[in-house]
Amino acid sequence: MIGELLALPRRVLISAATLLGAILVFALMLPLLGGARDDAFTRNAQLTEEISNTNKGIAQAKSDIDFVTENQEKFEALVGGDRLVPHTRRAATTALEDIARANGFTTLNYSISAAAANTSPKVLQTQPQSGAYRISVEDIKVKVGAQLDGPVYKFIAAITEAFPGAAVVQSFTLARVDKAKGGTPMRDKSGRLELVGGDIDISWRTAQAQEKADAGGKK
Amino acid sequence: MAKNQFVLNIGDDNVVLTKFADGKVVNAWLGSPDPAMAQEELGEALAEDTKARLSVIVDTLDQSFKEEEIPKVSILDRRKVLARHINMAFPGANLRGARIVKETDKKTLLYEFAAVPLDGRIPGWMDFVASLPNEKGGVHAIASENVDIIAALTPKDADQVDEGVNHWRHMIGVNVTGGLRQIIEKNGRLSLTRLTQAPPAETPPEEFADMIIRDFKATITYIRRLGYQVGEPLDLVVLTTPENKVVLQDMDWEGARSVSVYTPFEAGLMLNLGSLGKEDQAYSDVLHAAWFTSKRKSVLPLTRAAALGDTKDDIRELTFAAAPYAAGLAVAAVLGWSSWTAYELFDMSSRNGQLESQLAGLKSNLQQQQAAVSKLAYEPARVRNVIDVATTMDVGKVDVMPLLEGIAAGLQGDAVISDMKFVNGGVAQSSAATRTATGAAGGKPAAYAVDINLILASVISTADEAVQTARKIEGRLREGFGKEYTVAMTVEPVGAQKKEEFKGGFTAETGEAQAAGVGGREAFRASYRIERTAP
Repeated sequence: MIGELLALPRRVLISAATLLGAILVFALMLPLLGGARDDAFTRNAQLTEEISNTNKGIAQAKSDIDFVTENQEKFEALVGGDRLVPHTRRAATTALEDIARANGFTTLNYSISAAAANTSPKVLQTQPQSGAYRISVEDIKVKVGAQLDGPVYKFIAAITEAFPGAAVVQSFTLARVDKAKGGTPMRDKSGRLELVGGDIDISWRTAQAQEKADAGGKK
Repeated sequence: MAKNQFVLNIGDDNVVLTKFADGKVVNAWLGSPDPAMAQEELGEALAEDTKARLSVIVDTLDQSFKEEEIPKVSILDRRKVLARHINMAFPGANLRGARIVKETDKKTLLYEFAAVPLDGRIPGWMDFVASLPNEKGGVHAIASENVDIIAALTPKDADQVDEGVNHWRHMIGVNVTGGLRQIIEKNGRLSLTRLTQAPPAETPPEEFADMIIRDFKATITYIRRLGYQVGEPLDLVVLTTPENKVVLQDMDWEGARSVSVYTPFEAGLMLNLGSLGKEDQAYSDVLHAAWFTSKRKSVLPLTRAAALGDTKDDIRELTFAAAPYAAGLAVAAVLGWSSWTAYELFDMSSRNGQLESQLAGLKSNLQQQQAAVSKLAYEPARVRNVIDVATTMDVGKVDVMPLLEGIAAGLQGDAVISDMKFVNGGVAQSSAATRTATGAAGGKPAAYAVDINLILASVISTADEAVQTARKIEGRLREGFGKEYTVAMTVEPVGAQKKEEFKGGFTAETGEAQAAGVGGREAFRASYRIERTAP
């Protein structure tokens, strides 16, 4: 075997020895130098991720401070008011009747039912349930009659501004009695003419607290 | 299990079949040179092991050797060039072989060619060997395979030969297959082989010695033509019987620097070939066969093929040629990889150092911010939740008062609202009204849409005046609502509209026209659509 090796041309022998040496050096360097390089890359990735997370934490903390500072009064008003408390349907009907009477309606009919899925905005349908509050949505259909259209507009504006929870007008239609088309005005029990009639669809939303605030600590 | 091997020495006078087990001589058989008798004389011996490798050594008179340079050609063309050269050197039907001796200073390749003519009894023996089931070990010429035995048998303590001076070695032996076989090498390479009539076996030693001396001198004369000059070192090896040895050792060998006389048995022991049979054996056939089998690879196999060598040779040559480049590439690759990896390690370590200090600063900052958060009056998550809930509850809420004020400002007493329909697009996204509005608003869902039907003022008496007024109202509405809104007149105040029927008549008694409508006259009407696209 050795004799055969020695019989090889000198440059082939030198080449083989060089090749073998290169392979040996590489085999030695791969775990040492290559391993150290890989460790450095891994550490770099860890540091980069830690820095990113720390930056996010700082940004979040600053955002929290700014948000609380800016919204503290609003928060206190909301928590102290009746906007974010559960309301019964009786409260809604009372509010409707009060506003209608104040505007001199000749007719007011209403019905309250659970919200249809396709009339609920997506943001409400996907509203997370794990927060401190969850939102309940119901539909209110109102039929009104009045002598003039102005009170009806005021009625719509009033329920938009002040209503137990929140009322969002989805649609309304108003029609004046059209004599030209053969229409005949109605009269109420008091003998008042009813020249304007309309239908109003309202999305009624109320909030319900899911958990109680920590009374002993931070509110 | 012992590995057996046969070697068949073929000569002009006899053939000798030698059997080896694990490289040691087991037995030898003598046969006639006629291949027709081979099966009868050697068949039984060969049948002892039909799987044993069988090699042939040709010891006939007619065998030729030649050294020739071939030009440097591509490795893949070398076999073709070699075949052309050897065909020119040995035309006709021959067993031929070639081996590379060295690469010259001129980069040409020096080859040793060998040939044995395929005539006489040789083809018959080739056919006989081919007919056997044994593994074939190839055909070889005795001189090329045994030229190196001379150096092994010459004294090791002989004086070194000066550089530039030719060193000759000469072996004389008697083979039962052919006769007196002489092999002469020059500087380690086969120079000449001669086969002459061997003295009869019963020749007295003195007479035998005289005959050998004469042959030696004849050979010296012969090799002078090949460059031998008197005074050049020549080591002689003679193989003979013990009786002849005594006489030959005392002879005067003019021209020989050293003379070594052995019996074939002694030579076998000296070469670690084991016992070659009888100690007083006169013939060297078994010694040649044993020397041949002791080598792992034969020197110069002969073949009947037109081309020499095979793909394996080409691959070997290519490997040899590519070896320096491969080594260079490997070194460059290792150096390159090491340098690059070291640079990356240094660079990454430096960056990591910077990142470590940056991270320490950021962590400190984070702790400060978190401390500030903990001092807040309310927990941020709770504040966010409450604000989010309040915001969510108002999603889709529309303040209708600006809308109504905008419509009233657009009418300016030129018309009154007959009826109105408002649809909040932010809520009723799937309604038909919203889909219409979406188309009108260029693909964006409408926040809301209002359809209003107007009765124009009763003072407007002509159609042209009604149209002008309706357009003025449209312009005022458009201007008042701005770019966020789309205002369009959907019904113009001329002509009977769909689903609308105007009734009237005339009676002769009164002579007055009776027509339905405000004040007994038809009122002009117009319709508009106001859409607000989502921001």
